[in-house]
This record gives sequence, C-alpha cells and structure tokens, in this order.
Amino acid sequence: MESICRLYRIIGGKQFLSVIMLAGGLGLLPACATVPEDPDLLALYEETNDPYEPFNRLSFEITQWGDRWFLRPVANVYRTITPTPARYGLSQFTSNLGEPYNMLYNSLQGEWSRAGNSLSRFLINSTFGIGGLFDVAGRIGIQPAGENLEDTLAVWGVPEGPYIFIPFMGPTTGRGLLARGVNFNRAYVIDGSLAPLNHINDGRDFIDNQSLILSGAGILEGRAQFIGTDRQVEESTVDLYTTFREFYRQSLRRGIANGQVPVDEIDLEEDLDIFDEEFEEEFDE
Amino acid sequence: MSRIFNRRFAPLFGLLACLWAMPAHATGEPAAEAALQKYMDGAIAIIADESKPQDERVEDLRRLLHEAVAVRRIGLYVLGPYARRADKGLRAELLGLLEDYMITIYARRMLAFNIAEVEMNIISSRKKGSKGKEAIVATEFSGGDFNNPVKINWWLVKNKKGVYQIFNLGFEGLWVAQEQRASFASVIQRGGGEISALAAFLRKAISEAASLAQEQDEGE
Repeated sequence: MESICRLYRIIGGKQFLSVIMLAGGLGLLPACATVPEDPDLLALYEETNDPYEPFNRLSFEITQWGDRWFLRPVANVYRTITPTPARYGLSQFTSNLGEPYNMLYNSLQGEWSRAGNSLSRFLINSTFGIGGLFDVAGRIGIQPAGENLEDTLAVWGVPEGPYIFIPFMGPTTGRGLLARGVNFNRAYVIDGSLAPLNHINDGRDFIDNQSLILSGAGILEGRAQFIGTDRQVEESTVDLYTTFREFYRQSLRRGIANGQVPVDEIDLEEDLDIFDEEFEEEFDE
Repeated sequence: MSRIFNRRFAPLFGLLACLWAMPAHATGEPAAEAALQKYMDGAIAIIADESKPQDERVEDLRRLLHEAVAVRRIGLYVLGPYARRADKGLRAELLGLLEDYMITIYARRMLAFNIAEVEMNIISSRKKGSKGKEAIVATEFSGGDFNNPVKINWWLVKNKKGVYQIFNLGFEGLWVAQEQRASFASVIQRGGGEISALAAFLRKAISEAASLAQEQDEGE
C-alpha cells in the first residue's frame, strides 16, 4: 500500500489511473471464479472467458443501480425536453469529432479505404455538414468506418484477455483495459457505461472528445437512444449480466471484423454430426 | 399493455418475422431462402388471422415452430456440455421446457407484433461450412414497428431429411443462440452446477409468463 501511495504521489492522479488500468490489462487482478476440472466444463469456462465473474457481477449490479436511479431518469428527461433535431445534431457532432481517430486507427490497421472514408467524412461533414451537425457524407454514400485502439490491438494480434466489468466505466477486456490505459487522456473516466447497452453499438464511441460538457451530453444522448429497448431486453433475458456480456463480446468481435457477422468461427458441423450420432434415438430432426 | 405483449420487443427477439413480399433472390443458397420464405408466409398467416382465439394461434405457432425451427438442435446447442451430462429423461425434460419457453416468451410477443406494414428484403444468402448443411440468409426489415431498418440474419441448418430449418437468429450482428447458451450455462453454474437448476428456472419463467398472459387475456 505504501508503494502504491508513493507511486501516486510521484506520477499524479491521471497517470496513476492509467498505470492501474495497464496493470489490470496485464492480468494482475486476482482471479475470483473457480476453474472447473471437468474437461467439458473447462472448455465452456474457457469459452466464456470470465474468470473474474463474481467481481464483474458485483460491478454490473452497482452500475445498473446507478443507471436505474440516476442516468436513465436524467436521460429520459433529456429525451423529453430536447428536440429530436438537436439530439440528432449532437449525436452527429460527437461522432464527427471521432472521425480523425477513426482515420488514425484504420490506417494503423492497414485499412486504407476505410481510413479514406473517415477522412472524407470528417472533411465533408465539418464543412458542408456545418461543423459535423449533419451527416452529409453519409447521404452521399460515404459510410462510417468506426475504429478504436482496442480493435487495432486485436488486428495486431493482441489476445482479447479476460472479460472485465469496471463499476461505472462498463465492460472491457484485458486488451480493452490496455487500450483505455493508453487512451486515458481521451476522457474515458465516464463513458456512458452506466447504461451497458451503450457499448453494444456499431463501434462508435459517443465520447470521443476531451470536453466534459460534450462528454456529458454525449452520455445522455447515448443513453436516451436505448430507452425502451433496455426494458425489453431486461424483461426477456434469462440472466441480464450474461446476456450483456455475450452481446458485448459479439459486438466487439463484429467491430474488429468491421461489421461483418463473425459466425464462420463457430464450427457447428462437428456438433451437428455429434447430435445426429449421439441423440439419434431421441429426436428425428 | 402487458410486458408480454409489448409490440416493440417482437422485432428484437422474434424467431419468425412477418409480412412483406419477399422478392426472389437467386443468389447464394436459394433453398435456404425458399425455406425461410415459406416459414415467414406461415407465420404471417397465423399472426394475421385475428379471427382465431389467441390460444389457438399460439398452438398454430407451436406447430410451425416444430416445422421451421430446429428446436432440438437449438436445445442441444444452448445446453452445451450439459446436454451430455444430463441423463436421457432430464435431457428430454429440458428440451421440452426449452420449447415451451420459446413459445411462451416469444410466440405471444409475435402475436402482438404489428405486421401490417412491415417489409422484408433478402439482401443475400450463402452457404456456411464445408458439408453443405448450413446457410446464412441476410435480410432487412423496415416499416411497422421498426423505427429504422433492421438487419436480421438467419442461420439455417439442414435436418436429417435435408430440409433447412432455422437454427439461430442474428439481430444487427448479435446472435441469440450464443447468448442463450451462455445464459443457460450461467443458470446452471449459479445453481451449483446442477442441471436441474435450469429446469427449475425454465419452469418458473414459463409459469410466470403464462400467468401474466392469462391476466392480460382476462383484462381484455
């Protein structure tokens, strides 16, 4: 503890948190879940990749509490009083501010066409779109090519790492934690994670700027967009925490694959053969 | 309106969607497209027939479910390794409960879905895997309760008779069967690793949903 305090005094608050995130990304968090011994269950455990599940569940519940009692009500008011054109403009404005980062990360991934899209979108929307308030580029067929550092690390071969849910900061992975630690100066402190559904999107971050005011407005806009859908998901899910984790992870992989649906990695053929052989007498499908 | 009959939920998780004229799209895997078209037409006919009582339409959907959806395969997939650990009797019970769960939770919501103005277009289809048993059909829904166009992908698998059935549903790239698999595994793990915990959970969920539906019917 003394060493940690000394480190904090030396490097200051912001960098201290960065170091913590990086350390977490290196897997120094204590594992909490019990590793099964059964080979089949071990395979499922590894497939799930949630070794800190007890901690993550607690974090999720805390965050849900904050969303239920604070963010959702505020976002509801925001949605009610803010005219739709203004909401649309804010959404577009914050997205536009993220386009240079999209260009950077697309370039780092060697996705030159997508990098070109991001640059074009930024230039067109910043000028003809009046500072990014209108998505003129989208209307002429230049679609968003959202990227982030975590996706870039994935393309470079950095493994995903364990699933981690940080209270009030939302879901991430070991790799994501590393990316956040590097990107800490981009106002990731609060990124709308009070509403976990914000993270299951098309890869765009609603907070891509360093202004707390814009960040706050972006958080509200992001949350407002899921009002309604959030209740439906909650009412239909078997286990909200697990549903959210799986959809987040799928969303992550979809983002890495640039929107392509990553189902080919799931090899069902072997399972189908096994189903037919082992359970032939039990059903005739 | 009861949560069960919330119309806006149906587009999100309905296994069978409704109404439109699907243009012929002879690309990729026509057999899969044709199968999906047939199932959709059947679902439309059931959902649109408001002259029948709801319970009858639910039973019609159950029959369609058996034809259109690879219920047992989905059940075995979402049970994961626990499918083999269960004995034959428990496995049969679980698969039966899963079927009831699908009907109770999803079918009733589909019946509340506003199908009159929905349009669906097939974007593409392709085979998946190397044995010719699987296909992915990409569709887009718009109109009706869809505020914005929604992409839904359908993962179909061939049964023993070589007929395509729906195995998985991908809503904007998020696949439901994988989520259900993880959720059911979570229920079992939190039940101390006992597979019977999942059976108890499903019975409770079905019972609660059925009670809610009955209250709704009586209220109307």
